[in-house]
Amino acid sequence: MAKIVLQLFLALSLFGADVFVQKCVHCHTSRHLPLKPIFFDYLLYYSSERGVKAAMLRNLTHPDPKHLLIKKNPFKHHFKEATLKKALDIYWDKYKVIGKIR
Amino acid sequence: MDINLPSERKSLIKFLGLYIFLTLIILALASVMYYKFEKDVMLYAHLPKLQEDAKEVIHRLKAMHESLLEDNFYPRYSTFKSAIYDADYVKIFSLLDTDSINFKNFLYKQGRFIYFIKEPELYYLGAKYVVIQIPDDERWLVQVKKNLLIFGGLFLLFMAILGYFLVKQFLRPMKDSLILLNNFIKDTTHELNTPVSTILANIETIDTQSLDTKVAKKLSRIDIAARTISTIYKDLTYLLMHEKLPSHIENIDMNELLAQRIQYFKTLADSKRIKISFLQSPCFLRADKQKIARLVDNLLSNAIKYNKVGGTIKIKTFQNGFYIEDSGIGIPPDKQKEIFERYKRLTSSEGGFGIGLHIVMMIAKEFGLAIKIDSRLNQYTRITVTWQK
Ligand code: HEC
Repeated sequence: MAKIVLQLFLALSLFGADVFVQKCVHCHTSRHLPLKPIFFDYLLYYSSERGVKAAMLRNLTHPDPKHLLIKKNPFKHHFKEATLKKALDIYWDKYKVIGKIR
Repeated sequence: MDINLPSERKSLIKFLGLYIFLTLIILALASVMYYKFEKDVMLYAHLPKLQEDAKEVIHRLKAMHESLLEDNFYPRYSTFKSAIYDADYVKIFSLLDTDSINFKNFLYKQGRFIYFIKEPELYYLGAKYVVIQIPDDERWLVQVKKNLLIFGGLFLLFMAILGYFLVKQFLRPMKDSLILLNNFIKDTTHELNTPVSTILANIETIDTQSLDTKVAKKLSRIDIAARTISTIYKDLTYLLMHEKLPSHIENIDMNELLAQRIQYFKTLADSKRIKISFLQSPCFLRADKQKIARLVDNLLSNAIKYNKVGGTIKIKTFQNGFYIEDSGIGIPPDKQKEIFERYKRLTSSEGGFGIGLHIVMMIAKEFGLAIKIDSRLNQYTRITVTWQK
């Protein structure tokens, strides 16, 4: 019984967590590739929300060393485009600069 | 010399209009160019300082960026304000007084502020555009306005003087020929007076009764011709001199004057077998007698000239007015207005200078007389002259 409750709770908590936390954070943390510095690097080169998101989408689905910011070993992120876009939206909202400067 | 001819005045006005128009356009263009130039000079004088300011902001942005925004305090300075915008012109952070930034210009003035837009090589915090704003004290503008006033004024003065000489140059040939013509006419008319008067005076002394009828007829024709010349002479003198002739106002007994003028034209009327009837009631007018005689003469002479052979002329005086009615060709309604213009003649078949009615109009205007035309084509023309009590 307790097991079932635990499983249900786990499933619920996973379900409740957003796509970004669910799909991206875990792998990146385990590989010591924190997403915040990556975000700021993208800002440095692509500036706007539109620019950053478009560049990320391109680099994650079609990693090309010419464009990648981390060039160790190009890693193709296998996600559905819709999922990826949703994750990127959350990613942007989480780290965006607008509204955070005092 | 004063300017008399309307055509002359018209072309003069046209020339002056064009001249003023061109002068103002040149002035406006020069002013705008000068203003823009001075503005640019002012803006570029601020540029090194603005570059310096932008550099400091970017330096600070870099530090913030490298701290991954753990340090999120935006730099503030007392001498200038700044803002950062991303590649899509979305405002990231701004201390400016305005949100409308002109990203097409990197250095410009808007309102009372000068704006400078710097693009850093790397977009720290996503900032592609760093906008610096400093206040413009507009001291340069005061100077520019002062200079524009002084030099614009000098330019206008110069153009006015130039224009004056140009107009003089432009009018000289016209003036010269006009003066020549005027003098010529004055001289000739003056020379005309003496012989015509002599002829008329001498005819009067001849006793027509003692003459052969044939000779008497010829003499009467000479008399008519001389009178016509005399009338033309008087009209011409009036036209040429009326501005210089002071009016001698007196109370005129119009019956007496009309009777006298009818008598004068009698020979002429007789020659066309025209019967003149004159109905009198008391009628007085305060005006210059010489001039009113000109008016009456012209009306009478027209009544004879445009009458048919064997026609009639009815003249009637009443209180504050009189009329002269002929049984002549009449005036079509559409012509009745323009008939008083100078040199307009009803038909070109009759002699005369066509200035008669023009003179009538001028004299009527001077003494405030109202003139009314009633006419039926090929039946009659009645010209009524009235005045206020
Ligand atoms: C299975 C592990 C894994 C998952 C899940 C994962 N990533 Fe990655 N990601 C990587 C690796 C590995 C790299 C580094 C590749 C390299 O070294 O060039 C990377 C690189 C990136 C980069 C940098 C690309 C560049 O320009 O070099 C971004 C951005 C990124 N990931 C975003 C995401 C997002 C967003 C998600 C979630 C939708 C996600 N990642 C999910 C493993 C993962």
